Amino acid sequence: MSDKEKKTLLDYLERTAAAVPDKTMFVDERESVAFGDFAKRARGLGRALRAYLNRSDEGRTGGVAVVVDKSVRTPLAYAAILYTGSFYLPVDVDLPLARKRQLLDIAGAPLLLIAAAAQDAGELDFGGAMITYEELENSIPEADESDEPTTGAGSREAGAPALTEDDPLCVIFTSGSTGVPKGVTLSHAAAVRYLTEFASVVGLNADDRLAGQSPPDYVAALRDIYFPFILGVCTCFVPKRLFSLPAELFGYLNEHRVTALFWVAPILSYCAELRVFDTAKLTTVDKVVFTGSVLPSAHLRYWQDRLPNALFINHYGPTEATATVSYYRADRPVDPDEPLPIGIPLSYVGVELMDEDGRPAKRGETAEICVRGGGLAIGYWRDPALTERSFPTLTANDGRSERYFRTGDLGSLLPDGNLAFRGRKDSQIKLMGHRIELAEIEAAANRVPGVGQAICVYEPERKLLALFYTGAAENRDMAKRLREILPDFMIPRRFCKLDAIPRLPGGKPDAQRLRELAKRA
Amino acid sequence: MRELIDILEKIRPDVDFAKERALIDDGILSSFDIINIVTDINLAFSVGINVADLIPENFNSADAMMALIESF
Repeated sequence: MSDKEKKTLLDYLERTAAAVPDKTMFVDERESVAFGDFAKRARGLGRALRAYLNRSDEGRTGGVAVVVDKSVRTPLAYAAILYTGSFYLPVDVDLPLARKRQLLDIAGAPLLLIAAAAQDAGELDFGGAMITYEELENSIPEADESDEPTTGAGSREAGAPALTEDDPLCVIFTSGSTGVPKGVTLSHAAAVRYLTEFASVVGLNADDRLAGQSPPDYVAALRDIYFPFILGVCTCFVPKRLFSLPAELFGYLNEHRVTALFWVAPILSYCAELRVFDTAKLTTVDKVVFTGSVLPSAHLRYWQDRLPNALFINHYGPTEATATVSYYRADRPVDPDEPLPIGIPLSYVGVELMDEDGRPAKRGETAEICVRGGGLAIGYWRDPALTERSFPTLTANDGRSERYFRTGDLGSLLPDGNLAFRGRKDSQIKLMGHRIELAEIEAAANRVPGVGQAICVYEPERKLLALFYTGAAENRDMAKRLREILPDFMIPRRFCKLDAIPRLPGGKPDAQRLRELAKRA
Repeated sequence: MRELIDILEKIRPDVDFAKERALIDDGILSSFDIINIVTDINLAFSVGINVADLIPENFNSADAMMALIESF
């Protein structure tokens, strides 16, 4: 199989598992798994899972919803689903019950695999068939010749439809500006393109060891899960609790001989603010890639000074572009007062800065970052209207018309050719790397009984979400009710009950005044 | 102590800080909460909680947090 050949992620898995069967592939708190064993277990689970999938096309076109945590079982479940010829719609087990129900409802998949210990599995109200990981494991059919690894385009279970690189890989849920989350459908081809090229940008090789930080259902988890498929690296899934205890976190990284970090920028900031290196050392890390939001240059400099031999890369890419867009290699110590650029696009990606009407902006002007090329998502899951709006066909300066994704991010081109990030067009924010639409928090708060009107404000100085509301509800009920609906990172850490929402003469909420109130909240 | 409880209740009005004894061990506070609490305590009490102090024992109860603040 040559590298030029079109391939799915399973083709890479088969090849790597055949080449290094005994090497460790994934590590979590309970177990570790080697490449050969992983591929064998995934194929077996895939065969078992096929018995539960509809014989009709629905099992393939509807995908398999899967409840996951940060463990070895998650990539096993994903690979098993891919082996059936289908794709997965992941939901983090740690989300509140109501949130899981909402995401499963949007997923609308015919089958749900519970691959993590979910206390509330019985209350998910799932409409389709449901199976647990244990049940699946216990129903793996006797090994037959299809248990043997095969290579090439036929590397699927006998009878399973052959996957092609243009097939969906997964549907990733993200915050939606209409108040409900939306799914983004990603293809094998875009994921493979991204991971192979970005690996060479970072200089990843088979000896590298990754520390999985991302929640298992985010686009960032593509790196943690599929770099091993493609390169033969090992990923250690770092327990979530360690990220608020940085000294223990550093100990974990040293103990697991981690060499490469692909982390959201706020964790690096948190470590820098706490001056972690005063009390702890990193002995094996030599590649640090940070994404998700802007890393203050002073924080990057803190890391650079403490790990002078490490490579640091600022990486920019939304879910709808399969995490792909651009990177900036900070190969000399940065000036703490100079903002970090988001750099240059990967080779198969085009970036245009477009104005409101989809016309190319003048050089140096700030305008919306629009992305074209091989990284684009297939679209929004079961939402053709939104897909059409967000992935329009636009005409670039050179006259070529192509499909673009309008990121909603603002950018400008610096004189040296690097792209600079200039904020958002709308009220989407990033908090500790999580993408949040304030409208979604407001929609949830407005549903709490006794609330007149709720408005959510982000206070960037202290990175704080503040919720202003009117009505009979009290702070305690608001916090309690929101926790039942929204993930932890979307819960405001300030609740402010007002007699009335301050308004502009036209009647619109006075955003300026609310931001001032939030500063003092 | 009242000032500390006020800070904590602003961040998590749904938690009874006078009563809870295993805020971290029972998973009542998330890493988001800890980050906010550390920032607010450092500001309000002009202390410098640092990485060595970030251990569960120091944050399992309001009393433990108060003891940490008073150690500065």
